[in-house]
Amino acid sequence: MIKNLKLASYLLFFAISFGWQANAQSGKSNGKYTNELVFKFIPLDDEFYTNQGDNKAVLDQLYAAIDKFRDQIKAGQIPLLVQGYSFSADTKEKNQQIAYRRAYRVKSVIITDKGLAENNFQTQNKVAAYRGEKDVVVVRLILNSNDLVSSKNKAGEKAYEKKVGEKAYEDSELQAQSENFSFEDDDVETASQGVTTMAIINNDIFRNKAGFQLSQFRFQTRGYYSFYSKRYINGVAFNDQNRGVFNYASIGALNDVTRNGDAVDNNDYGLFTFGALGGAENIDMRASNYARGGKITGTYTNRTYYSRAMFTYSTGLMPNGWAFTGSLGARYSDEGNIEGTFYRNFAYSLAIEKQWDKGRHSLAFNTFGSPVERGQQASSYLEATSLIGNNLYNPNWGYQNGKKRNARIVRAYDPTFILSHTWNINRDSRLITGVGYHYARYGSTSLNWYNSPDPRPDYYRYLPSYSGNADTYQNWSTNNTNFTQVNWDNLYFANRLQLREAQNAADSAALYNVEERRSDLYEATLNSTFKTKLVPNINFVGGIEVRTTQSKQFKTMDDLLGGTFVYDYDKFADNQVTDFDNVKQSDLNNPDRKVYKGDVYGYNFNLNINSANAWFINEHTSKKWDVFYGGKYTFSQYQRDGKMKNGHYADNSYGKGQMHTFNDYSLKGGLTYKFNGRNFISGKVSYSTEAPLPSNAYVSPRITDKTLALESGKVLTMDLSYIFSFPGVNGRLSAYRTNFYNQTARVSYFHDVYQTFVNHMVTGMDKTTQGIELGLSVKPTSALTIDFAGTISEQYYANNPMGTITYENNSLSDVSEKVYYKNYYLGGSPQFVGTIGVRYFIKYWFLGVNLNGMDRNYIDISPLRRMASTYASLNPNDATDLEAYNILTRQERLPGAITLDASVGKILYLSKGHSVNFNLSVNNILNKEDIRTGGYEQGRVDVSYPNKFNSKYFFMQGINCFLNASYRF
Amino acid sequence: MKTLNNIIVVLSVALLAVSCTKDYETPPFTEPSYVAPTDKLISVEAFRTMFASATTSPTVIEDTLFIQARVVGNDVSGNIYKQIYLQDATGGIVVGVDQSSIYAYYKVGQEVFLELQGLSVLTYGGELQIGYKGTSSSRIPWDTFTAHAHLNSWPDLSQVDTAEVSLADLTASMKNTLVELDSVYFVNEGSEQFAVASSGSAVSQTLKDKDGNSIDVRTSVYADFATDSLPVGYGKIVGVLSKYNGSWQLSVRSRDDIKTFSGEMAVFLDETLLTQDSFNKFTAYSVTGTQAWGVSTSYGAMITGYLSGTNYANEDWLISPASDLSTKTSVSLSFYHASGPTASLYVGKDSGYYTVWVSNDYTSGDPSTATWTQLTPLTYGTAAWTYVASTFSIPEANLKSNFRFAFKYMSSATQSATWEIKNVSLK
Repeated sequence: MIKNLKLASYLLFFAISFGWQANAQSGKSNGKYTNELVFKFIPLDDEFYTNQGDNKAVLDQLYAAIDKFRDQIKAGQIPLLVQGYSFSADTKEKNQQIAYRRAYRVKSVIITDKGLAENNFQTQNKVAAYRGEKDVVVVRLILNSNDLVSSKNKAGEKAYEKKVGEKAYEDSELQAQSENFSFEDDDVETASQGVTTMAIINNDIFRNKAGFQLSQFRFQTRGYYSFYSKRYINGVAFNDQNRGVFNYASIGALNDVTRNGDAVDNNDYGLFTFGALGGAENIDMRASNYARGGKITGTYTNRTYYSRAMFTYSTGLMPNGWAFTGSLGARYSDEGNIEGTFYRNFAYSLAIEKQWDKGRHSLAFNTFGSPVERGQQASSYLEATSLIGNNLYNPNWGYQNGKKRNARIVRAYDPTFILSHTWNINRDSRLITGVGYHYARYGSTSLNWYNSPDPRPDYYRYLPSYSGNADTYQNWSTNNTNFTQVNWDNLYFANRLQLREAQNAADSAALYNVEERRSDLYEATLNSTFKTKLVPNINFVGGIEVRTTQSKQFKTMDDLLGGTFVYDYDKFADNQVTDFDNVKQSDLNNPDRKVYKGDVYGYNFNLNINSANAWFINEHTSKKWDVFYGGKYTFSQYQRDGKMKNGHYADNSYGKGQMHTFNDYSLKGGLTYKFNGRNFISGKVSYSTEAPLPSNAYVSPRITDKTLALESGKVLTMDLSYIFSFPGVNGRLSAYRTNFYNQTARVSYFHDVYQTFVNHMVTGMDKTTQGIELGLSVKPTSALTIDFAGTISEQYYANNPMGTITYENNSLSDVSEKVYYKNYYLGGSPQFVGTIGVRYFIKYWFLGVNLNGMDRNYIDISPLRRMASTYASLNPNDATDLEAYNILTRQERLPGAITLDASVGKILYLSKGHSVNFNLSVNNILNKEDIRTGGYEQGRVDVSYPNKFNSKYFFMQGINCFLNASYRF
Repeated sequence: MKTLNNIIVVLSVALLAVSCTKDYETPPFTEPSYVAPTDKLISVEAFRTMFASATTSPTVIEDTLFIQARVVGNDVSGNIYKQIYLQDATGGIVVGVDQSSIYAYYKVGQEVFLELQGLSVLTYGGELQIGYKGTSSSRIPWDTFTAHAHLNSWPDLSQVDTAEVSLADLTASMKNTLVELDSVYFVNEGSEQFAVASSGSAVSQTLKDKDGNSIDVRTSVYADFATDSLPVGYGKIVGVLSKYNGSWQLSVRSRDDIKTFSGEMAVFLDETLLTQDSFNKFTAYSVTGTQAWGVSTSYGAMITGYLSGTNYANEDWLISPASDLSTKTSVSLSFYHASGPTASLYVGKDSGYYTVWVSNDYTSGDPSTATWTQLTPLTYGTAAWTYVASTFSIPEANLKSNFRFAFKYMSSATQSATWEIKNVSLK
């Protein structure tokens, strides 16, 4: 308890500043301070019944207050005092026991519902009556011991109580929404940058809306790629070092134990992180985070999987300081909504924690994993999808012996182990140290073929536009699956006929096979973060991070489709080269090797990646101004270790290659001016250098160590936000601009004319994204809320970078030529997007409707089409030539779209604190199946036939639903 | 209890989800079978007659007709490109198909019932071909071809007839059939490859028999044997015969079609001496006199000591490039020569004005630096400007390396004649 008045007033200002900030960020209407909150109990009973008396209302009131001061509570600055009273039993010991249990139960409920931690509370057990009440529990937020409720505040309190309802349902609805959420599967092989997902709900309206409603459009906030969003678990960093992204599949079907934590947006710093351009989240999976009890969830949906089950049980933090929380989950479909896809996933999580010294120390151990096997979909050409009449046409599958078989199957498993220690040194200081280890197995199969007809059904030469043939047109328009899908029976026939007719050993090699491309990762990370208060109004937070990773990439023979072996050759090697017999070898150390099922072949290399960084943030607070500044230094290095001596690069593929080292730094600073408690304006600037990701650095990592000159990219970003919270209206208006300098990207494709794989590296690329965001929440009545979130942005390439083309079969020497990218738009995310939603709450039913729209969604451009030499043979005065040039250089803008979603949910509170939650959400009610959410231009070009290599598109699913039921006990 | 039930339900769902990785049943491998109506069958010969009036522009075949034939040539090596050769007892026909690696499904020896209705006939390079109307290069699209070319039973190589033919008597009925040529040699044996080109997609290599009849062996640069050296010596070769713009050509199906070759050079020299290039392979050396050997596209290498009404004394050698005869047991030199004018027909014939010599130690420059042995006798023509064939057997002593032969011409200040030599071969 604070005795010193001076200190109290400091704390008060402190509380006000953070309180207002937190409040405004939360987007909730401002309320007054809270007085003691009293929960009623049954004499001699220690069970906490929320429907007893007005316990529910009081609880909601308490939750409203907790929300308001959430950050300080979590930071330990405003403890929650829970006092258990019991005076009805006959002995002092009994009363003591009952009082203790009552306080414990209330605390547990609060911890579970609000995601707080044990050390946010102070508990007291009193063998006494509280103002005449013998069986109660009293909860208080310790802001200021002298803060008593005055009559002036009573009016505010009434208004406050009205907000009780909103609080309850907003929480529940957000909760329900997050239950509905299932993490997008990020496919390593896809050209797109993946979708950034969020696990933690925080109070920023724009972030929440963008995360849930707009993910259907593949919207990326501010256009930042997913490797700019950092994810931590228990304070340990988990974006992998190779591709820089977080593997959401590792926590698939573990939603219940990954919902708690903290999130910071848009380059903000947090207590666990220096910050990241795309925001950061720290998922708190520690066992003590959960109240005692369990939860069972069942879900039905019609997306990639159709059923999901989750079961979670926690002992809660027990008096002996131990806590155990376990979770099991599963997701399944025999065939998802997209033909040929299937989903089989099982997940487990176990968290064990021990606290001692009254919660001052805690050691938490976590292990979890979510092995999955699923069939993938692929994008395809407009011609194919429109002929079949199905925008979700999936060329990956085909019939084998009457059963559907998908050529592209992902098998992934990412078991993770985390050990984390928290030391609450004192009220102001805390040290969290964690070590995480995970082994990520990722394999993706695909068809491979040698000296045989292309087995892919939508190969452009099999489409009617190529041949102009009526039979081909007929086959496609009637969707004759012998031609529109992979014909597995034919592949088996060809292999077995070849074997049967082979005159010698060399002829017996299989023509078709399925290979599995593996990208495995072994990664260990250490994070240590320290926060303290240097002087009363200066906060310090800093940390160090050390990481080591080994990425193993290779491919194995998965299925020989009736054949017995293949030779380990590069099928694209140019046979005109005199040294052909050597050049075609995948591994000169094992020439002419026969590959059998399960063997590693084709390519095999490791990337050894190590890095370390140290950072700090200093924050000065005062009544009107908050200032922060900080810096970060990163050391990183990586090296390729080739396990095969490739025939194309005999001197530069086998063994340990060049060690690449980078020293990077980042500086940031920001200013917040508080007009008053209701609104403030905040600006941030940051400049960073970033080492190129190992997955982008090598020209052709599968076969050679070769790189171009590697330099760190640079990012300069600034944003300005106005955050307001008035009665009935709150939100945030932001303007931002981010300049990227010296970026690297790589595009790979097969070149028809030169009959070889081509890697096109673009370096020295500059990009700019800038725009305005608005998140708004309006409450005309207490039951009705209208939300809006939208952004208008411009994301484009800012210069003409240099492109370097390397031909994998070395038939031609490298070509370095300027690529004309300037002022083309960035693809991958709509630049103009918005959602407006209406939510209505009545008698614990929540109804919601959302109208979402997007436009200015551009296709990802390819570098070859923007090189001068590609058009050297064309004459601008010739109409046909000019037409071809225009078609090929124009950047396609995907059509805008509007969708409508609706949801309905209900919470039922049962006895003994149990509850049941139903939620049904229906997306794309208007069943629009022609919405293109993204696409990319093909790398290849034919100037004589500009429409020969058309772009490929991703389509949105038509009407889809998510029905979720959960039972808490 | 309810909790326990729930747990069991969840666990079983979970277990079900991951119970086993999908195992795919392999499809049965059955012998293909197709029966065409026998009254609709047409022989290749009858087919050719029926569509003899086909043009370069494809005509659709309206009638219900089937050709029952075997595959004799496909793209297994990458040599034959987007074509397949079918042959029955009466002849062969080539079909254009827009697909690579057609051999995967259509092996040599495979019996095929080709349903003709809907396909087209056209001519390409002056020859009949089955194709398709409206497609690029009038080739049949793959899905149409597989629907029209019905497989029947397993491939049977023993049913494929390879006719032994000679280059002298190739007939029209042999078009697009599988033939075998014996005792033939590649003109560029040992010195060039089947198909290495700086531009273009196919290369022709001349194949000759002992009588000098020749045929082009056309090979694609994409064939897997394209960079192999041409075999040396006389040997046997199998391939599909076809005609292009009036000339015969042979398409080898794979490396296995190149049968055993003797390994000893078939021909060491085969020069027409009718072109500058051909002539430049020889060394002309003037010992005496200003007149020298020259080349004429009509008459071959020629020399005369007579200029503008005056005779000049000359001694001029025309020396061949070197050959290594050490592996051979017998080699013969043959050439055609003529002289004139009539008045000078017998000039110097007994004085050794026109002689043929051989040597194994000539390097360059003056022929007197080497030891030469004369080849005798040289037969002369009896009429002016009439070519006479001459053949010599090379003496055993000269069957060594650095073998050269030379033509020595002499004239005097009082008399001279013109000597012309062409079509020289050493084999």
